Amino acid sequence: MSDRTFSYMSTDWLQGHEVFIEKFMEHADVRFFKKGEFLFRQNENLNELFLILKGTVESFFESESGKQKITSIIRRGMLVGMAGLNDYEGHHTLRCRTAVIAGVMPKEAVYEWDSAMLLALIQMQTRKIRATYIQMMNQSSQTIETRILNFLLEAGLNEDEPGPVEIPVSIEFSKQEIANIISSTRERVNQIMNDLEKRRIIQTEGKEIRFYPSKVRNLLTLK
Amino acid sequence: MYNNQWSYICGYLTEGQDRFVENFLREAVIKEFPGKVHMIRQGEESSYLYLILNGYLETYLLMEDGRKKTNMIFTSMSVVGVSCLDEPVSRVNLRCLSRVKAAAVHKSTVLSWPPDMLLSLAMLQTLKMQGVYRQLREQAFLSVEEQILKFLRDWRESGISEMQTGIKGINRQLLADSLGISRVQAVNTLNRMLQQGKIPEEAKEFL
Repeated sequence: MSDRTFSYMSTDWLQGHEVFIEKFMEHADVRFFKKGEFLFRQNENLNELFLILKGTVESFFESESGKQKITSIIRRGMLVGMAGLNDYEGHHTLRCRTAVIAGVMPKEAVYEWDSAMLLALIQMQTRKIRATYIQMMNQSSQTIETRILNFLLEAGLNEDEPGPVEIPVSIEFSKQEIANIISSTRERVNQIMNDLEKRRIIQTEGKEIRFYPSKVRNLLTLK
Repeated sequence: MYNNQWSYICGYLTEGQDRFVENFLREAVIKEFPGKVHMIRQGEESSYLYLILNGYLETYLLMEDGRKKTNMIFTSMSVVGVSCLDEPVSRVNLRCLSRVKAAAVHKSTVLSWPPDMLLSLAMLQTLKMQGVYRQLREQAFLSVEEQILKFLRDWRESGISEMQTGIKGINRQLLADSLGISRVQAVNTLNRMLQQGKIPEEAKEFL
C-alpha cells in the first residue's frame, strides 16, 4: 500500500487490501459510467457506495453562486459515498472525468460487514480526513506556484515503478480545473503556468501538460 | 443536542450511541491530563483511542517550517486518536486546551472488537469527515469574516464556555490556527468586525 501523503489526488490505498476488494465485489454490481456522467450530486441522498475499479472521477463542491471547488481527483481503488452511512446528504458532486468502471453496493450492506472490512473502512476514512486537512493547510500556507507544482506531481504520479530512464509525464487539466483544485483563479494559474513554460519546467498544448517530475521536484526543493 | 453543522468544534459525536459508549468505558482506563499537555505528538508512537469525558482539546498539524494548522477542536463525548489504527506513528498532535478527562482503549483491544463496535466507530469517523468537508467548503467559499462568524457559532453551540474548564474566552491564536490565517489577521479582522457591529451580541462574551 502506498503511504504517500496525497492532498489533491487519491492514491491506490487498496493495494494490499485484495481481500477487501474481493468481499466488496461479492455484494456489488459492476457498473459502467460514461465520461461526464455523475455518480451522485451534491445535496442528494446517498444510498450507495462506489468502489472505483477503473477510470478517474472528480469530486467537487458547488456554491450557491455556481463557484466550484474540486476537492479531489479520485482514481482506481477509492471508495466513495461514505457520507451516506449516516443518512447524510452528499456534500459533493462526483463526476466521471473518463469512462469509469465501479463496484456499486447499497449502503445497508455495510451493516453486515465483518470486523476486517470495517477496519479497512475506518482506515480509509482516517486517510481521507488527513488528506483533507493537508489540503487545507497547503492552501493556507503555500504560494500558488508551490500548490501548482505539488498538484502536477500528484497528478503525474505513475502507478508503475520508475524505470532507469525518466520519461515525461502527460496529464490533462484545464487551467480553470487546476484553479478549482488548488483554490485560486484561472488568471493567476494561467500567469504562473506561462512562467513555468518560459522556464521550460512544463510544456502545454491545450489541456495537455507535459513535464519531467524531477524538474518539478527540483524546483520545489529550491523553494 | 449539539447541531450537526459544526465545522471547527466537534462535540457529542457519540450521541445516540449509548451501547458503544457503555462498551468503550467497560474496556477503558480513565486518564486525566492537565491543560496544555500533549496527549499525542506528531511523529511519536500512538496506541490509544480516547473518548473525551470532560474538557476540550485540539488536533493540529505542524509543518517543517513551524507553521501550525488546527484541524479540529474536540469536546466531550468525542472519540479521538483513531488514526493509530492505520499507522503506528501519529501524523497529528493532540493537545489539551483545558484539563481533560478521557477514557483510553488500547488499539489491540479495538482490533479485536466485534463488528457492531467497529460499525459505530466507522459512523463516528463519517461524522468527522462531514465536518472536515464543511470546513474545506467554507475555506473555499466564505470570506474570513464569514468564517469567523461560523467559528463563533460553533464555539457558542459547543457549550465550551459553560463547561467547568476555567476557560471562558476564545484564544486569538487558536482562532487564527483554526481558520488557517495569521494571528495578526485574526485580531485585525475581529476588531474591525466589532467596530462595525458585525459580531452578534451573544458571541461577544467569548471575545
